[in-house]
Order: sequence, then C-alpha cells, then structure tokens
Amino acid sequence: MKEILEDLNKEVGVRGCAVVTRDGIVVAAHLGSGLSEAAVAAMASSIIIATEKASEGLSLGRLQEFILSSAYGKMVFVDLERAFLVVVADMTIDLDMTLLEIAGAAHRLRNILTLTR
Amino acid sequence: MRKLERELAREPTPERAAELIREYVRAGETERAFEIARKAAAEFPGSQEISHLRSQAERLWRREQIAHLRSAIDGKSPKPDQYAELARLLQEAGDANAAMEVCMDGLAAFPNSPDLHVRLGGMRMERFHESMLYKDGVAAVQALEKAIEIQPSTPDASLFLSQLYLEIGCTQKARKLIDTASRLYLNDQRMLKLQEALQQASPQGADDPDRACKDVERNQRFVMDLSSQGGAKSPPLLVTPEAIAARLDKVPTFAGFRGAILLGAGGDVQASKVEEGTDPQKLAQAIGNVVSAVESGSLRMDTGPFNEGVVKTSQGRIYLRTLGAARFALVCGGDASSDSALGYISALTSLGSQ
Repeated sequence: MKEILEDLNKEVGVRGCAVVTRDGIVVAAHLGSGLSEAAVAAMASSIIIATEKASEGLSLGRLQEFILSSAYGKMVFVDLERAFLVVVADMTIDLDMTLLEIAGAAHRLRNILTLTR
Repeated sequence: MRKLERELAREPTPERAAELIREYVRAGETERAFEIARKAAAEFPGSQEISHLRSQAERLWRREQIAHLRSAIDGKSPKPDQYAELARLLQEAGDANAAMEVCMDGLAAFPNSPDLHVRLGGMRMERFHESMLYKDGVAAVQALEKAIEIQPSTPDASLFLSQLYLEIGCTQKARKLIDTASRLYLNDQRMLKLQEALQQASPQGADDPDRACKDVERNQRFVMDLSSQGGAKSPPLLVTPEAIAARLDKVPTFAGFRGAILLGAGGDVQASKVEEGTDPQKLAQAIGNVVSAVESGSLRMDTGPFNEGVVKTSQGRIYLRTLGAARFALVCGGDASSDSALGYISALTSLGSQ
C-alpha cells in the first residue's frame, strides 16, 4: 500500500496521499512536509461523513468520488469500499492526467483492502 | 550546432532560431537553449513557434535549476540564498506551496536570514491579497517585520510591509515605516507611490495588524485598494444572488435534474428550484453540511478558500460552486449528462446581463 501511495506522490503537483477510513483512521499515508496525518485524517473524515449523509439523504446512492478545487490546491477522495483514498494536490496538478493515475492507484488499493478482509 | 549558430548570426530567421533551440534542447543544453530562445523572442515577437519554444526552454531550464538547487540544499553545506533562489524558481513555476515549504525549511536551518523572511512574507502577502484570510495576512506581517528587525535595509521588506500596513489600515505603522525607509529608496517609483497613498490614508482604530487582518477577513475587503500599484486585487465580478434567483425560473431544466439551490453565507436558502419529491429544506441542510466540511477542510489543508467541487455517486452527481459569500449547488440523477449539468450551471451563474 505504501508503495502505491509513494508512486502516486511522485505525480506532479501531488502534495500527499493517504488511505483513511470514514471514522478518520489512517490505514497508510505518504504525505509531504506541511501535511500531518492527524490533520488529513480529521479533514477527510469530516468531509466524507457529511457527503455520504448528503448522498444518502438525497437518494443518490453510494459516494464514489469527490473532487474539490480551492484557490491554491485540489483534493480528491475516491471510495475504496472499506476506506477512502485521499489525495491533496497543489495548483500545478494536471487533474485530467493525474485522475487516471489516481483511478489506477485506487483500483490496486481496493484489491489489497479486499484481500485483507 | 555551431554551423546553425553561424547561419543564424549571418541571416536571422524564426525558422533558423527555432531549429537551433530544438537542437540545444535535444542535446540537453537547456541554459543555452533558453538564452537563444529569449533573444529570438525579442527579435521575432510575432512568431508563435518561437514564443512556444521560449516557454518550453524556460520550463526545462527552470526544472534543471530547481533540481540543481535541491541537490545543493541536500548537500553538506547549504546556504540561505540557495533556499531563497529555489523558492523564487518554484514560485515562478506556479508552485507557491512548495516555494513556501522551501522558505520554511530554509528558516528552520537559518532562522536569521532576512532574505528568506522577505521571500516568505512576500508570498504570504500575495496569497493574502487573493484569500483575504486572517492567517495569511498575519503570517505576512510577522515575516516582514522579522526581516526588518534582523536587517532594516533588507531589499523589498520595507516596501512590502508599508504597502501591507496601508492596505489593512495600520496607517500610523505605515507612516513610521515609510518615513524611515524612504531614505533607503530614494527616487524609487514604488516608494513614491506608497508616499502618495499615505497622504490619502486615514488612521484606523488601534493600528493593530492582528486585529486589522481579522477585519479584512470578516469584511472581505482591504481598507485601501493598492491594486493599481501591484497590490491588493479587487474581488472578482460575480453574478448576484438576485440574478440567479430570477434565472432559476427562466432557465429550462434537463433530464435528470433533481434540484438547484443557492445558500447565503449563513446557510439560509436564497433561491431554489426542485423537482417533485425533493424537499428544499432537506436539500439545503445536506448541501450546507457538505459545504461547511469542505470549506473548513480546504483551509486546514492550506489549499485556500473553496471554489468548486463535484461529488460522484452511484446514482447521480452534486455540483458545488462558491459565488462570493453565496454557495450554489446542483443535484442530478444518474441519467443526467455532465454537459447538460455544466451548461445549466453556466446559464445560471455566468455574468451576462444581470
């Protein structure tokens, strides 16, 4: 899992990535300086819980992916069934290109999580 | 390449220059490629090919310089000016977060480097102009004040800090600093403009930068707009909530449309349009909770104020947009095409005639 996150972290613009459960437990992480595991976990848990509740309340089914753009960066959350892949990036990220890498990483991480069930 | 150089010197054409630039890039001599590209761009300003090659050569050259400086910093005896230069190059490359991280790493190793404090202060100030966030403003003031405390003649420190004091309304502090610094910047146009601005400034409250930065964040505006001098930028033009409310009745919906809602800064519903079976209050609450978590998360991750987002679910999508103090959301079912959804958002939120 660590290797997959390390590879993803090499993509241009990626500041860090982590596998985090809904309740904010970090399963694995590879974060650049300036990002702490505790802060990423708390942020991810809060966003995922609020979005899942919204999705359920609006009869939209299961949350699969959430892409956020802010003034100086972007964040991507991808459902791994038992957890979420969280990617924090800066403005230099080319999301069209990197989303393919993120989807590939999410697929591999989902397989690992399924095998360890 | 020598032959090409001779030909270019004898008879300069954009085609010859382009060929030579490409040759140097292929040979890995990016510094020379960039040098020729810069000259060619000045000589042939109308050539798109040269302009493109110049950008490409500059990117490659910068990447090489960044790698070189990173390796020097990781070596045995890094110097503070290497950190400052690396931060400058990263900032030019558009990676402000990495540039700030480099400054902070540099300051951990050289806490008394005035240049690093100025570089960090300048970047925080630039960010403050866009974000209007208290923490950016205060960090900029602290870094610039520290630079002046260490070395009062540090280039740009007094200029940046005087401008910032004026922008947040700390007029007395600005006056004191400008009086002192004007001797360092004799006939400097930037200082002359700050002196002019000082004449128009009126004293504001306690002259306390901490409180003044909080006021900027709360009011979402600077006391003095120095944008024409390269300072604070005016907030972007935005469609008004009233215009969106009016357009909600007019703009036709599309297959898969479930609801659209506009929330005020306090989460109040300013306008909405929902399909039968969707409860507007439930929609407002759900969207409000998501936006609140997202806004707080964005600030916590230092990615700045939240602009927009897309939630994809097994049975639909939610599009979120920040429009000044208001938040807009569009909810669609799985049968809605993203083109229709984006077209709908554009029709509602584009400036057009309001």
